[in-house]
Amino acid sequence: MATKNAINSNIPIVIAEGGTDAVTLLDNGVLVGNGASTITSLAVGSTGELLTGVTASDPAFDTSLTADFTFTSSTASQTRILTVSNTDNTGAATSAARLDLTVGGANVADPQVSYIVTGQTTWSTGIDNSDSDKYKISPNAALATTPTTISDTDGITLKPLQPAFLAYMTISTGAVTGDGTIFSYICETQVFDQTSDYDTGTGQFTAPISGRYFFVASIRSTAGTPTQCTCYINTSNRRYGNVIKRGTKTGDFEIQCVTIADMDASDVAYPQFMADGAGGVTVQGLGNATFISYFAGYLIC
Amino acid sequence: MATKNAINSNIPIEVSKGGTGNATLLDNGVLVGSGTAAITPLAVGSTGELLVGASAADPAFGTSATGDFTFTSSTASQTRILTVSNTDNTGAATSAARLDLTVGGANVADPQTSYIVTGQTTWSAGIDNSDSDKYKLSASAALGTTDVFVATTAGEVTMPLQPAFLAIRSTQVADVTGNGATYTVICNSVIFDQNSDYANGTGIFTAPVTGRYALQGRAYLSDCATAALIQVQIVTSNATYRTFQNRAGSAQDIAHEISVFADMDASDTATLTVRVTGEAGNTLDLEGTSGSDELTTFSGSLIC
Repeated sequence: MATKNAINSNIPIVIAEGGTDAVTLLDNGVLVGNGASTITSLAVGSTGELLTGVTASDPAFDTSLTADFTFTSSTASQTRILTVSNTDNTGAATSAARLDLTVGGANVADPQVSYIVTGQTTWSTGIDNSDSDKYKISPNAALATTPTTISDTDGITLKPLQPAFLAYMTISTGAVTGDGTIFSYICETQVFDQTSDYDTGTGQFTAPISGRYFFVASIRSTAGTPTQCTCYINTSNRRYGNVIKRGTKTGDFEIQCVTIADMDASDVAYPQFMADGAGGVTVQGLGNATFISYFAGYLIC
Repeated sequence: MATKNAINSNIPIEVSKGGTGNATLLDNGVLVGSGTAAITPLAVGSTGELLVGASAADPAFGTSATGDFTFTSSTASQTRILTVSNTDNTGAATSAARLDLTVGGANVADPQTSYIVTGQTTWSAGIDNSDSDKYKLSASAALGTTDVFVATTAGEVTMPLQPAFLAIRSTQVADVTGNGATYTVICNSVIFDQNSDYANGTGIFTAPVTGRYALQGRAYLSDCATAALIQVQIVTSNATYRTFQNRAGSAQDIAHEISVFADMDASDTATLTVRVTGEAGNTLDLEGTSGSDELTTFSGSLIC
């Protein structure tokens, strides 16, 4: 008994009668309708090609898309992964796995990766095409908005929101020590303060986050006849000092204190100085338009 | 002579008889089987859409998929590339190319990219959703583990594994110098040592990588009678850096500090030394912590 209907006319059955109107169908070819005309067999896709739509036309196998595409999920406990993988490990130097983000040239927007916690935060990394092709890391959807790290194409990296300040004292303190009194001097003129953590009114720096900070303080003492002078950097955790003890020799002291300090968030740091051996409170801290007495610091790591 | 076979029944041949079951097939529509029912032409996809499978249902063209996808290769000398490209260069400010990694909100895991050398190392970058939405670069598959670079949303950057140390001398060491002896200061108490490069038993900092290091030291000596000159040195494998203070011989305590920027090669060492002259013997004592004051310290960090 025959298992296939052979009409034996040698003429294909037309579409309107439920046929394909074709005498053969391309081996491995995806079939596509063609209205009342002969069914279409698509060209066979190569390994790895995807079937992509074409508006008002037949789809085709291809290696590229001219539209956005989203791999999405709203299912709990599911990690959505897009993988570019090359498992070859034979030693071929060109066996790589890459994600390339490409824009057409200097006149358009940015190639970037954005990490998005919906309703919370977006971080972006990539090339700021409108700023000399700098590579930026920004806590925003736009690279140019408040970047935390900026690397130029020469390899120089800036961190414009890193805590860093420099201030100096232009007004002398008046007689404040000389008898061992420790005086907190205030550098009231600010040169820079990248994250507004230094208070020119109190002379104190407040750490915005826990970290390792570098500080340098310098003071010039004048007037009186102290036999020793100490410059301190006082922090919430501990105090660092540098002392000069010179006996009966007279004249101004100029002394500096440098340290790396452990600071917790909201800890403060400020400079102090102390003179002793002057027989009374006769010693001043010298303020000046130059950087004689100053305080500076930054977050290292 | 007829060139096409028309059975003239006006009823399409059904699938069970080898037909399509249709009198017309949607132009450009991919055809999908439907058991014994008429073949199904799918809706025509728009340009750029992909034919996306659906479990136990017809596939459909779309711009999103609810599954993972892998572009893979095991062929040697082949670079596997996923490209997001927009070649427009007309000046349109919104012509961009982006990869967006999005999670649903604050209650779930992290949006991240991972760089994987199979069997060797994984680096990851992205938002640590469980740590105040900080951007992290981590030498692991999980943000929060082996974090190398951490940026807060306010812009502050820390590097928790960057070599950086601060050690103090907590107690007095008697009779270390005074008559010219050079003493290597051992700051026995470590306040922090991010990369475990400082040995508080020997006072030696060992550079883990070649780089530029900022190093600071201070020393305070007591029990003076005629101490006149103090030298404080940072001795590295490449160079010795020195500052000194010279005074008339005095019984006052004597102290000094030094700050340098040094080139160090991997495994190079740095130590803090102190030398005082003017005394009849090496009778001066190196002072430790006094109250809240750190009198003798050694610190440093890798700058770049």
